[in-house]
Amino acid sequence: MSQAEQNIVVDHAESRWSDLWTKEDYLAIWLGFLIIAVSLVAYFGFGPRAEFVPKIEAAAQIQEAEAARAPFKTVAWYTADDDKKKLKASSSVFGKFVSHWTKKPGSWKNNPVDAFIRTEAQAQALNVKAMPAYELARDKAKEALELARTAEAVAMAAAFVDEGLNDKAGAMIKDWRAADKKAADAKKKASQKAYNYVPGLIGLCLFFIVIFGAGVALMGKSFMAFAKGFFIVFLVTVLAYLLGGQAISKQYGFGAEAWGILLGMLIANTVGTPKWVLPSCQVEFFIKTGLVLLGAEVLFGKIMAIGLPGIFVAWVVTPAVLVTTYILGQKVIKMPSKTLNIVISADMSVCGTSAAIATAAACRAKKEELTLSIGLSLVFTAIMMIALPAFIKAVGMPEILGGAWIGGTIDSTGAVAAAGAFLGDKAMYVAATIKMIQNVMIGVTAFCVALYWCLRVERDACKIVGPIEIWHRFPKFVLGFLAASILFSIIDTALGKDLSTALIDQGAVRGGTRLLRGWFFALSFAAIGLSTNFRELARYFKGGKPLILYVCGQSLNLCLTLIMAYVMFYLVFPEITARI
Amino acid sequence: MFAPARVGSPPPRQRNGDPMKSLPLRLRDLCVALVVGVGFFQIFLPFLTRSVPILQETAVLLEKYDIDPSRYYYTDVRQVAEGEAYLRSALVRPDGTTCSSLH
Repeated sequence: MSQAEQNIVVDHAESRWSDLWTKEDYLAIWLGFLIIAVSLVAYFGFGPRAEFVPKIEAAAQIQEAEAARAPFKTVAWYTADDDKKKLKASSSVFGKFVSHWTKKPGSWKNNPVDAFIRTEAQAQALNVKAMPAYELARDKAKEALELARTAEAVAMAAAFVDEGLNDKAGAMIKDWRAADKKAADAKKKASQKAYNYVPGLIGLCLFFIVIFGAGVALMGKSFMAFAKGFFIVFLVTVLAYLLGGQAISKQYGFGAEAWGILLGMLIANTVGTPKWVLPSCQVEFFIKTGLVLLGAEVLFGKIMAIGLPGIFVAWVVTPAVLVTTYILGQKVIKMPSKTLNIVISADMSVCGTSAAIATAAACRAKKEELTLSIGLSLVFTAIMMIALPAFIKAVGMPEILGGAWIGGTIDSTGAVAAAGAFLGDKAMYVAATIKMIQNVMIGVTAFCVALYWCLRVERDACKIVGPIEIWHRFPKFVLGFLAASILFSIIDTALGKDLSTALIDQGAVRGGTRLLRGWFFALSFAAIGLSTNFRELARYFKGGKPLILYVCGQSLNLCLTLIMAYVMFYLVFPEITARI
Repeated sequence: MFAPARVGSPPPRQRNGDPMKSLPLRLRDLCVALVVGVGFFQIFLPFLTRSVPILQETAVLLEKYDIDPSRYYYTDVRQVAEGEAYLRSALVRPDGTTCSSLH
């Protein structure tokens, strides 16, 4: 036997055909793909696709004709664009049904009941209150439209050859677009409806008991034991959504996921989680199924949304920071746990909570490690959301550069949008788009981490891991996650931008997979909290090494992202910055 | 759950091995934690927001733009779709072509 053959690890793990219906990873894939299949069939098979295609073609023809007619985007061009944006598959009967039965408690300020129930009278009162602002915004939009039309007519009368008139018309049309957006936002606030989410929540709880209970039964555990305790897990999740929907809590970035962990831990570490609830705390099953569904939202076509500068800021700096932070954690800070090190590194460099979940599941990190990473991310996100835009404003940094910096460094997407809004609309759009490109990276990150763990971390010293061993050890749900991502990316590209937006983004994703993905992650965090001990958690924080790692990694991230954003947006591609 | 310790049997223990506290003590701990939590989120944070101008400005902006900073993925944040549409509109010419440096 050659030396290389001797070094191949003996296959300790085994794969059996029965794994396909008894192992959590596979069951998460089947359940995730069942939901994906239902969403795709509902929106593509029975949905409004046939109705959308001619509408999109008609709008595209108008836009083509307008593009040939004028050197700027005309009023008719934008009107056709708006017509395309109005097409949403989730407005179909199926979309409304799914949306109704997966509703989570809403936002509230002073009265928690508002999160569950709003009467007709309350809705009416809100609409009456918001109506003057809407009417004012609507009148301004009408006025701006008239001015835009007039300016366009003047430019047209000069056969669109007078650059001064063309620029003026272009500027008027931009003003109209801004006024129109304000009117649309004001209309939303004046179109509140009555609701009662309680029956939907009861139905949803029963639905989850059936789908997850079936999986638990296939894993050889008791369906009844799961069903009995699940009510508590679901109740904690609903309470977490309720508290996360409170205005102050939202302002500080403390959402349902964080509340789930906190409430769960509060119960577990005071009165104690009842023993009969523990069989329902199927943390990994919830997370893995949620991740397979998240794959449907990881669309590779999104990475070109802002051209090459976005790729450099989000896809070059991010992996560099991730790898450097991990090495720093191992070699310099001497992190006691490799899994905690990689989860914090991914959480901090990629995109916060979602990256932490995906990475933790891919490297089989402990739930305390995931909790700790997310906790660190929440604290730093809340600080950076305020401090970073304040610093950018104080030093007079350009809006686009500030937006790109924010997008590449703040962890959570919502906080990125909030920080960007401080600097202005353009900064908010650039920041949010950079973050979106970074979000898409979690698929690659999860796959690479899972592979690295199989090949290097979990192997015996000085042994080469054979392909069969890699297969045995590889977390299979990652393949489901990637398969969903590739499937949706292919469909997204094949349909084209407009039809994909109407059927995938505003249909199968927003009207299907995303609704349940949110619930699955929230359930998993409540389950984590209910089964976590404060003392165990404190053990992972000993010496403050996770904090040091986060601070060092984030400092590097801040420096590299700023340099790359400046080089890309101001030195290499200044024309893109000028057009934004 | 909450089963009282029986005479002759070993005292109930928590999952970490420590002896289980009595129910009144555990309920007291829960109440204390809830009071601290409610105080922090309902009294301290609103006070902080009112006292620090930049935090007040944040609250106004979040309301104005309807942004939820606690949302972590891009599909959960409306401003991402708006940003994508804005950039597409700004970077793509009316006829759908882009300048070579974009892609």
